[in-house]
Amino acid sequence: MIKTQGLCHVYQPGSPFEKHAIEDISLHIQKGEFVGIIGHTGSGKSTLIQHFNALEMPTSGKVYVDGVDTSAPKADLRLIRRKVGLVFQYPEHQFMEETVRKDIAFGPSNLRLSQRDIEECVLEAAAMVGLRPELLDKSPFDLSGGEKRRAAIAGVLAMRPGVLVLDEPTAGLDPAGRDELLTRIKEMHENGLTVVLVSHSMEDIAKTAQRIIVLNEGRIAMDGSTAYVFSHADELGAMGLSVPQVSVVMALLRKQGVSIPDAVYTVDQAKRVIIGLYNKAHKE
Amino acid sequence: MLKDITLGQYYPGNSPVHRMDPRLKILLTVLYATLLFFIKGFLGYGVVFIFTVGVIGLAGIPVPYVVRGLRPLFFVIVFTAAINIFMTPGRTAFRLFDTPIAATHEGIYMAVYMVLRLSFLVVGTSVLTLTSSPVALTDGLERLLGPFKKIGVPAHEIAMMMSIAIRFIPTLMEETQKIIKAQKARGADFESGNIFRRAKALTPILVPLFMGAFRRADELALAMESRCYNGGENRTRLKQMHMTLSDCLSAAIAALVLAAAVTVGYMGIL
Ligand SMILES: Nc1ncnc2c1ncn2[C@@H]1O[C@H](COP(=O)(O)OP(=O)(O)OP(=O)(O)O)[C@@H](O)[C@H]1O
Ligand SMILES: [Mg+2]
Repeated sequence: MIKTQGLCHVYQPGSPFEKHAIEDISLHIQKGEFVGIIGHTGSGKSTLIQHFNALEMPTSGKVYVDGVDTSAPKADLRLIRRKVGLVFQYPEHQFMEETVRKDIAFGPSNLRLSQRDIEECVLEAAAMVGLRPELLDKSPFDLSGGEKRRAAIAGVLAMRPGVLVLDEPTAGLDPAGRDELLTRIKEMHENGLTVVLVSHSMEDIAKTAQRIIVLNEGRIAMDGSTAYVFSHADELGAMGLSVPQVSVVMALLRKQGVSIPDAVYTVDQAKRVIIGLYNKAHKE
Repeated sequence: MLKDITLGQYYPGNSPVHRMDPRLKILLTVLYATLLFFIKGFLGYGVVFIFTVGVIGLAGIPVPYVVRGLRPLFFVIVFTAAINIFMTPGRTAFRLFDTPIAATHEGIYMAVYMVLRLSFLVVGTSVLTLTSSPVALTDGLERLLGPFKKIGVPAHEIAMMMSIAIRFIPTLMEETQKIIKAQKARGADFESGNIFRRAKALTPILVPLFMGAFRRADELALAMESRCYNGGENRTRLKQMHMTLSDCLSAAIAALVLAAAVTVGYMGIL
């Protein structure tokens, strides 16, 4: 679906503010994957994902979306942006219409669909993020924080992208709003959407992603399954990142001699393992 | 395009121009901007050109970097030039596609002047903001307006408003860029179509931009209040301003050069 080769991006080249944001990034995201991207502040996560839908162009290297080179002169950028839906950080800061319905319809109407198709896209997207239909005729500015965030994500989903890329979708939400949103995103993935999730929260990534790409100072530091990445707590620590708290607890238990399988990093998994151990101990 | 606006941006450095007392710098900029409109003849502009390039060089800022600041104003400049060329009465130089709209010799002459003035005005004033941090600028301005406090001029408040405005130009530019990107990600098309369609595509940017500006203003007011900010009475400064001898000397030289630029025109040397 998305492939990059030796991708580099330099901001403001030639000025005193020149900044090599990402360097030599080669990755391949396949259809149906759920990829988490983690990295320290300023490691280039947002820069990287903006290349996925051709909002930023590589300074050198290539990005291919469905085999199409985004920097080719005749590449259809709007088609690429439709295929790869990108949700920015704090997307609710960008509401522009007086009702939620119209705001969600912004994307589909840019595709010049018929009124009926637009309406269908809007309702479908609202349902995907779990936005109650009666909220659609409210002003987006009157929604709660979690609802705002979901409405903004619906605005991107309404274009029916094949890949959904989210930049810190849970930032600034309360725990309930967070869980609800993550559950929704997971559901979408189960229904066939390819998802790329950028997050600072290891817990969020642990709950959702199958594969993790770790960025450090603009380069890929690790790329592997969730279990693989979270088993390298020391390397992550050296980059200023941590593993999920549950992993830490499990590692400590392992050190105490308790036999705990690998790849336990969410509360749910830990619960199951501990109950299993308890039951076993009871029987004996 | 938007990120090219250098007006209002600070270019960190430690050159003599950076270190100069902001009060003097502001006064010189005002003098520069005013004299620009009194200069007659191209020799005068030649002097201004050498002076401007010299100051930029002394400040250690690449000249192309400053000139890039003109790009967003390209349309304004072209428009002004066109108006001047075609609207000034005088001897006809040529006609536009055989229409009654005629360019005059006087108009062309005026247009060249206007373009020069506008360009120097933008470049010259950006040198002030490029080489002075917003804090230095406000302090300087406040001190300059100090004597007028007696007749009720709210010097501190004016200075504060100006510095906030200057401080937020780059932030708003960044914000605009971000909103454009977010809308592009949702299929908005800013690049194709005629000028009317493109202008229409820009309107949805305004709502989030204003909402953002209001949000920022609220946050800023809150932050200032929670640090007990209450206007200019009895405030002391972190950095005291010192006008050194070399400051005064360089200011005097600059003023002389600018005065020379004006006088060469009146002495009738070209
Ligand atoms: N428009 C820009 N102009 C100049 N430099 C930029 C720009 N955008 C980002 N940068 C710089 O590029 C680097 C990478 O930024 P990026 O936003 O991709 O980081 P990030 O990993 O998303 O960080 P965060 O977790 O804080 O969102 C940073 O050092 C940043 O200062
Ligand atoms: Mg980011």
